[in-house]
Amino acid sequence: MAIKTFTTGEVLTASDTNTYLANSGLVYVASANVGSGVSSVTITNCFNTTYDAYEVVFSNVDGSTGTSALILQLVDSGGTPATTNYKSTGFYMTYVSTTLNGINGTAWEASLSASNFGGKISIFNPFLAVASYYNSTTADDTYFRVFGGIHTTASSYVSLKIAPNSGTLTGGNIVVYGYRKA
Amino acid sequence: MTRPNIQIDDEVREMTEEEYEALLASGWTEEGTNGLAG
Repeated sequence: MAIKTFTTGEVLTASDTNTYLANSGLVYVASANVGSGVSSVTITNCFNTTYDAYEVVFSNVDGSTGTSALILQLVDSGGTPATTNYKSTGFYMTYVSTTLNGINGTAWEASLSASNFGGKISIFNPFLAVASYYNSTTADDTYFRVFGGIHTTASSYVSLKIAPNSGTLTGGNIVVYGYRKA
Repeated sequence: MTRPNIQIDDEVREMTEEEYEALLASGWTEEGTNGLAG
């Protein structure tokens, strides 16, 4: 039951209530409260057969340096991160210039601030044994960035590793949500 | 030198020597420049 229109005076049953509570479009899957001075955070078993598309939401995360970026890696069921076959491209701007700068690379990257970083990254197909995709529109204390990318290995991944490319992370939380398919 | 900590879900522990070597090999620096926007 994806959609139902209730009418005035109609009894809202327990069954309907439970159905609609379970039918939210975006469903909490897993999270981690970031520790102090950690060089990476792995959220295990956040990808599964229930969802094909995910949002990874960062709130109030501090990077130890204001000039680092987040690197995301898919992790297989044995706990091994995939370190190759990532491609990304995008553009960025600073707050003090209107120049649009293009960039590409061999990692899935996103913003990170020295204090209170918040942002959202979308990941598609990680659990499916096909190529996976990501995209992000994030801002940090220096840059606004729009990125997208592919991981070309056709394997299933169950976990997500998040790490700054320099320094460490402290505080805040990272929450993974799945898009309900039906 | 003390190796950095890593976190898996809510468990935080010091990296093993092998994990630290892999981290350094990935290009990670203790304090560095932005790999994205240079």
